[in-house]
Amino acid sequence: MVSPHGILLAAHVISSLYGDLCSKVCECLLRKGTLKLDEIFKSTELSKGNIFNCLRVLIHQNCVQAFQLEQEGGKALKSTLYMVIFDNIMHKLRATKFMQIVSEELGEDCRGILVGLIQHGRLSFDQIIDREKQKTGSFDGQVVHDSFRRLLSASEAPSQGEITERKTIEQLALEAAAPSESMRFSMDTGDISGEKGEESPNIPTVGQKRKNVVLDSDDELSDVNRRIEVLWRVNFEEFLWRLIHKACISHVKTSINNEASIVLSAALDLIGQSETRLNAENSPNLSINDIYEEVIKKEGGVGMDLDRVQTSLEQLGCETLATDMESYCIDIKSFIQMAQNQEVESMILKRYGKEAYKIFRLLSRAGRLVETDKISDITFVEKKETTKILFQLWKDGYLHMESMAATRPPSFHLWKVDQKRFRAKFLDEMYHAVLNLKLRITHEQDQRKEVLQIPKDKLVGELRNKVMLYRIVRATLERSSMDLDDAVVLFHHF
Amino acid sequence: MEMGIEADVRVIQSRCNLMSISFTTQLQFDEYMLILAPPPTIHSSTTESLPPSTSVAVAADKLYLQLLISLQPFRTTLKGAPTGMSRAAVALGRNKRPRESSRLTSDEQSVLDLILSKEGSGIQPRSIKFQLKIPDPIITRATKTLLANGKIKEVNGVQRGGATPRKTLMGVDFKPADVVSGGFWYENGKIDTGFVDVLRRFCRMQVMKSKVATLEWLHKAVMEGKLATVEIPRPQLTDLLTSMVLDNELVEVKSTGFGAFFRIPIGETCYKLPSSAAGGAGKDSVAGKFASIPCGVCPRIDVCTPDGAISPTTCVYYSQWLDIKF
Repeated sequence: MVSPHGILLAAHVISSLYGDLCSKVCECLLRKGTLKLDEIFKSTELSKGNIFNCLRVLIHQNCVQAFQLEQEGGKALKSTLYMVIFDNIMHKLRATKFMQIVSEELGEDCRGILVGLIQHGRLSFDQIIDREKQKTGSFDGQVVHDSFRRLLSASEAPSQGEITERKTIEQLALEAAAPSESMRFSMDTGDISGEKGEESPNIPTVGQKRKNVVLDSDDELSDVNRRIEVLWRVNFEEFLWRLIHKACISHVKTSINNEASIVLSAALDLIGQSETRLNAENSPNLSINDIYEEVIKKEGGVGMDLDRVQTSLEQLGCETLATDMESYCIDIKSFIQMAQNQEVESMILKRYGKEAYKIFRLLSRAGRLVETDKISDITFVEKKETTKILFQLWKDGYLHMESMAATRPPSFHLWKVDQKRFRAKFLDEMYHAVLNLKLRITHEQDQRKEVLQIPKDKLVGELRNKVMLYRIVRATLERSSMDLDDAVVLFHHF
Repeated sequence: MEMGIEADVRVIQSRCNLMSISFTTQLQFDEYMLILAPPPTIHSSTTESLPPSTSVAVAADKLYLQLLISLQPFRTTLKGAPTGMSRAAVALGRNKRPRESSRLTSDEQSVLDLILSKEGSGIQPRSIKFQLKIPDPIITRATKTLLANGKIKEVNGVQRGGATPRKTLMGVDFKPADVVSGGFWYENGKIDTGFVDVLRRFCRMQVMKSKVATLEWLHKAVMEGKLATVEIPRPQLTDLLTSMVLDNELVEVKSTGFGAFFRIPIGETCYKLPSSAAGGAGKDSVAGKFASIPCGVCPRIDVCTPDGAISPTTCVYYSQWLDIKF
């Protein structure tokens, strides 16, 4: 279930990109969950035509997934269900980051193709070529082909490990919508008739093999499905991992040192396409020699010798194997945890003060209920002040409290950080902050609407200064929003 | 006893009851009767107007006054009375249960006995009242007497859970228990911050010298450094080091047996300084991204809404933040 401010943020994103009607449909699905068409019609009070159009746009932009449930006995239900994909809506905020990654790693040609996929959601290869033709005066099909291949090969996603928990209907629907792992990223040479990153918008049926037969229900929507064609979309999962790696490296740079961040970056590059990246606690074993060879390729790593690499690995907390002292395991989850802790503790320090920071760190590490006086003794905070801080944190929803009756007052109070509840609240606050930044950008723009409409050559003196100031304010707010999104990524997916 | 004397006994008993003096045995009361000394000359202004009564009633009143005198030996000196306690008071005192000092009344003795029985835990005045069933004024007088005599002391206690501290009374020879004083680090109800700071600086310096240190090593260094007149127990030193870890002054690690840890058994808890890049609490170098924007530190974020009185478009924190930047 998406948090309250997550819903508001998603609705704002959809509204700014695709209009208020789409935003209304999206918000309805976010608040009420997976719905049928009739239910959406009742909740939004929009006309069916408008709802259809909105769903088309949202499906095409990968923000909504349609599916059908199979009844027992093998007979599929005639009605179609629609569910919103919250993660993909959030990825719309990260478009500039994705473009930057591709630009740095693969070049401007690949970036151009990616921009098209981000803007249009899904494109066939022919549509990609047409778009490139319209964009550039001189068109070279081979360049487009090669750029496309490079994007595809960089998008190799790891096969998922076994997920033992019971999947929800929505998870099954998403899996049924995607082709098999072996076919998702394959591309025939020459004639492009290979498989796709995403199957055509054939409404999948959960519980049975995907069919190529278009179903009769939702006739208007199914018009889109009559042509079976290969469509491509952005592989968000790969970009997500790149962002997480970047966040971990950035955290290590600030909390340990630059050399440790270079070593971690090298180790993560080596892990690369590992199958176990997503689900396992530890990476495959990396030998010190492999890590060293990767380190010296990095900027700043040239001057490092084997001893310094080993020292950095120790600083990172990487353990050697018992059987092989030359091999190291890198626990990615521990780096993510450290980065999360840094965000949380930093907020507690700035909002509640140094004493609260110590108390929170103690409870966060203890992971169990601790009595008030014990907290006071360990943190060296006066008992009265400790009680005041604990109640303040509890009132704001950051701590869990239990009371034990004593033979005479005052009763014992026991405290702990309920990690699950706390992280959900923290994530919601971050969504709130991102939304606030976006709204402030809109407000600043509205305040200077008239000045911004003046042509550049007429901007002199005071007017020019106002425009300059607006640009600086906007850049600051957008940069803060992007930075905050890095923290959102860490908390949302772990 | 004859009827007449029985009546006298009842009168005197009733007078004594006015003062809540209780005789535990009839024998004590009888002894009081026998040793009743001739009353001193009483100045008329110190007496209430006495109703016309029998000689026994007058004698009982006089006994009453003498008992009053015995309770306030230095305050009430009646004209013609011997200085200090009257003979009756002294006689009375001799016949009560054994006293530490001949100056203590039965109430004072009861209070003192109760306080001493609590040893280092002490007792609060209201608890004395509940246990001895003595009125507040008597307890107040008794405690003042005992404090003045140096038999008990008052300790500024620390209440559990941070409740308002109340004064605690205990025997002068007893050391306050942790539950009263607050613990090893407390002095007069507050943390002895001066001592704690000295110890923290010392530990940090020792860790800086040796690069890595265990609890045992630091404990030994502290004792040899003679920073305190008493031995610092290991659990308390552990608490101090944990506090330094929480403040980011130290980092807690497990020994690997290699490198800087080669003299330390594998798995033992050690302390070292954080890397130079990491800051202590409050340093901007490790400020989170959420804490770097106004919303991250805003105490009103829960009531902030897009269209409300507190909103991002009207937020003064945003205005200040953007103004400061430019």
